[in-house]
Formats: sequence, structure tokens, C-alpha cells
Amino acid sequence: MLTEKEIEHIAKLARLELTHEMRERMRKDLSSVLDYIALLETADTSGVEPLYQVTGLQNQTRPDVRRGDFSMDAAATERLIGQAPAQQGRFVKVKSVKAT
Amino acid sequence: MSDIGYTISSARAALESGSLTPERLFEHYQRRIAEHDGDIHAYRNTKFSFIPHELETSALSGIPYALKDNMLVAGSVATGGSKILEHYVSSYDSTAYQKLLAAGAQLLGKTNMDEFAMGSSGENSAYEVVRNPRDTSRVPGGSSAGSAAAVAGDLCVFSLGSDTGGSIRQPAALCGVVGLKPTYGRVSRHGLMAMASSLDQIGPITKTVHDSAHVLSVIAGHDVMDSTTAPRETQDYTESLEQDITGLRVGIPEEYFGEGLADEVRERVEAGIEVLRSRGAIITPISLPHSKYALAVYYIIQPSEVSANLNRYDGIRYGYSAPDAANLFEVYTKSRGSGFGPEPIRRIMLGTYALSAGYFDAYYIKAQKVRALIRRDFDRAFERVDVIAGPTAPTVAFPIGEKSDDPLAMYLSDIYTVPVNLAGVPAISVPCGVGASSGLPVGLQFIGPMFGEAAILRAAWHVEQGLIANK
Repeated sequence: MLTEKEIEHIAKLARLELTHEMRERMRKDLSSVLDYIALLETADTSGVEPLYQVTGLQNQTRPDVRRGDFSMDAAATERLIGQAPAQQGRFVKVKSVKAT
Repeated sequence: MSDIGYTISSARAALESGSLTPERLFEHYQRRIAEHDGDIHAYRNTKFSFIPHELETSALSGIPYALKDNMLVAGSVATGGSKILEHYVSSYDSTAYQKLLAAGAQLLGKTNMDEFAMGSSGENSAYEVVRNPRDTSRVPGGSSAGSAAAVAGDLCVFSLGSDTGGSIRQPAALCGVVGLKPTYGRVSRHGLMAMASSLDQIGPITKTVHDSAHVLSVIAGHDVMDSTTAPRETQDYTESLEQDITGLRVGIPEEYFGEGLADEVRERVEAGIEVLRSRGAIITPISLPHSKYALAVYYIIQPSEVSANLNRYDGIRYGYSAPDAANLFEVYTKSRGSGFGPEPIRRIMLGTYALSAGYFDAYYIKAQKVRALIRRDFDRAFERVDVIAGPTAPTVAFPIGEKSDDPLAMYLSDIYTVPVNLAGVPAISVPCGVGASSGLPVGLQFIGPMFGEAAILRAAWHVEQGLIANK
């Protein structure tokens, strides 16, 4: 069983502010899934390389010419940053990083 | 027209004969949605209009369809089934949508889904719980819950879903329709909300195998906007469907018929395989020895990728932003903590844990190694057989609420579908009748080698035709 402290640490790393009830629920759920996952310890993987992707494709490149399908104008700016909760001019506005 | 309503083939025949116009067909489905979707909740958003298109010879011209709400259509809302994107308006089109638009298909709406495509029942939607049109007290499966329910309830002719661990095939099986997960890299994911990037794939949900082949033929192909797409030719998958299957080698993995498989499912799946035997296929027992590890591997790799992909929902550029945050850190934690539902939170935390210092090798690297063994199982099997057959899901559709408080029990719904995503190979679920005790649909899954869509479509077509003939 994961400890309360471990759950708090994971939530902080994941940038999730959770209620006490949710933290307890996650402590129980994550612990039961981790118990199940422990099954992997019995798999013999000696000499096996990890498989990160299945296509075998590497470094897909395109011809080095201007594609031209992303020309920026006022409408494109609006589409891209128009949904930011806080804006100033052409910029997305963020809160101070300092604790207040 | 049978009780399943229009298929692509029957609708095209009606359009070509002039007995139906594309506008009238579109309105017919809008009316059906207005009348019936209140009981099903298959749709999130039906604010789409008929787009006049020259009636061409394209197989999909004039055909009304639905898109899972994690695929983008510029200018319209895409929620991904999550409250964090309740008001999010897409800024560009997904490639799959653009291809269907160019083919003249008509978008009816965006379908309801488990939040960010995480779930096997449609109950994880942050909006309404999706219901199975075959029995509205039961789940339709998930995560493409609305896409499968809309096809099964004849609220569209076909739909697109996405499949990361079974999210097209399992709901198709539970709703009694055809669901295809193409080979990883066969269909562009540009404009699909990323969930687990080494596993996600878009595919069709249809009423017939023939329709599935039609849709795949349109949406498949290389895309410069998705560098994981395969730079190889596409084909017309309908052409080889009806080819003779004498001598087709069908492997039956013993691991897919063990403990946990409901008797009524086993019985129907075996009956489906018997159809192939009667049509000349050679049925061979095979072994996929690392199958027992697939779900454990999946629940490390998938949440790890989720935890990275869902970092983009940070309350800063778009989506929900907590109004009461005092500083930047709180913008992140409060927006995410209250914007995400329980399942995304569960998986983000699981993935964050698996990737954190001290656990990375034991969990993530170990899982990727076992993943290699799972892929090797399939590679070896396909040296001996052309396709693999087995159940899509261990049970028929279960009652709403039955598994919603037990994540692990819910995860086990995907035990036969997740190995396919881990290996990257294609698979299709085709209806093979109803279970003897429940009377609910059962799905038979065919798995093929990389880019072996034509072979699994053909096997599925023969089962479908054989079962119609036996009725």
C-alpha cells in the first residue's frame, strides 16, 4: 500500500491539487493496480531490448522547402491564442511564479 | 432496408438510383438523433450542417457519419469527453476529418466518450453516461462508447473511433457492430487528441465488414503532419474481401480461451471459427506465451504516456483555468485537480509514479522489455498462420455501475485487445451472434500481421456472410 506521503508527492509531481477523499481513493486504486503490475517481476527479460515503438521508422524528414501552410496573420493568432484565459496583445499572460 | 438501417452500400445504392438525396438522408439521421439519442447519449454535439458536395462515385459521398469527440474539426467544440475542454474550440482539422470531407461524407456530430479515451464502458464521460442501444441498462463498452452506440442504434451510417487498448473493438463487440483498429501508422492521427502516443490509432466503426473496408480505404495513408504514419501505398480494401479462403491459416491462441472467458462468449466465438473451417480455412492451435503480461505492461506504458501527453492541459493556453489561483503553480494544480475526472487523475498519477526517479527502470523499462516479448510472440505466430482468431472481450455488455468502482475489474475488459496495441498489429471485431444466456452481442476478433488489414477484413467478411447464411 502506498503511503499518504507518497500519494502527496506523486500529486505534486503531476501538478494535481486533490481533495483528501480523492487522495485516499487514489491511494487505494493505485496500490491495487501496482499489486497487479508486480506480475511483471516473473517475466524473464534477460537479454531483451526494450521496444519503445513498433514502426521501425526513424527521423522522418521532408524536403527542405517552405511548406507555407502555416502563414501567420491576425486570424491565425486569434485561433491560436484566443482561447487563453488571460491575454495581453499578442501574448498569453501567466501568473507570477512567486508564491503570493 | 433491414433493422440496422442504412449501410454505406445500401445508402449509396439508394443515392445512385435517385430514390434518395444526400440532403434527405442527412435529415433522416438528424431526426433519428433527435428522437432517440435522449435514451442513448451517443452524441456530445450535433451542431453540424449538410455541406453540398457534388455526387461523385466516391463510396462515401453523401454518407452521414459521426466522429469521436477527440478528433478536431476547425471552429467546433471538441471536449474529448472532459470538463477541462468543455468550451475548447478546435483551431484546425484532423486529417481523418479532412479525408472524409474530401470524399463527400457528411458529418452529423461528435460522439460522447470516456474522458480522454480512458475507459471501457462509456461511464467515464464527464458528461452523460453512454447507454447500449441493445439494452439501455447496460454499458456500450468504451472508450469509443458513443461512436459504437451511434452505429448500433442507427443514429449514423458509420463512425470513427480511436483505439489505444481496445477502444474501438471492445465497444463494437458489446454493441454488435464491426470495429477495426488498423496497424499503428496506417491512419494519420494529426488532430487526434494524444493519449498514449505509441498505442493510439484511429479506425472505423461500421454495420458491415464491407463498410469497414470502404472507410479504411479513404482514411488510410501517409501524412506529412504525422511522422508515425507509414510511407507506403494504400489500397482499396474492398477489392480482396470476397476472395476464397481455402487454405487460409487461422491460429487459435490457447491463452485467449482460458479463465475469465464467459461460456456464452466462447460458444459464439467457436461457432464463428467453425464458419471459417467450413469455408476451407485451416484452423491451428497456437500459443502467445506472454499474453498474461500484456495488461500489466499496458498499465505501465499507457499511463506513463498519458502523464506526459496530458501535461498540455495546464490552464494557461486553452481549456479550464481555475479562477482562484494565486500563482503559476496553483494555476497548474487547481486547474488540473478540478478539471480532470477520476480516471485521468488515476492514470496521470500511475504514470507519474512509474516514470519517477527510483522506479523508472523497475516499471517503465521492464514493461518495454516485456512489450518486446509480446511483439515477438506475434511475429513468431505469423510465421505459421495468416490471421489469429479469438474473443474480442471476455463478457457481453455488463450492467451500468457494475465495474465503475473497481478500476482493475474494468481494466480486465480489455485483456484480449491490449496485446494488439502493444505489438502495433491490426485487428477487427466482427459480430458473431448473441450469447445463449444473455441474448447480447458477442464479438470475434481477428488479428493480422503488420499492414495485414486485407487478410483480417477478408476473414471477418466470411464469418459475417456465413452467419447470415446460417440464420
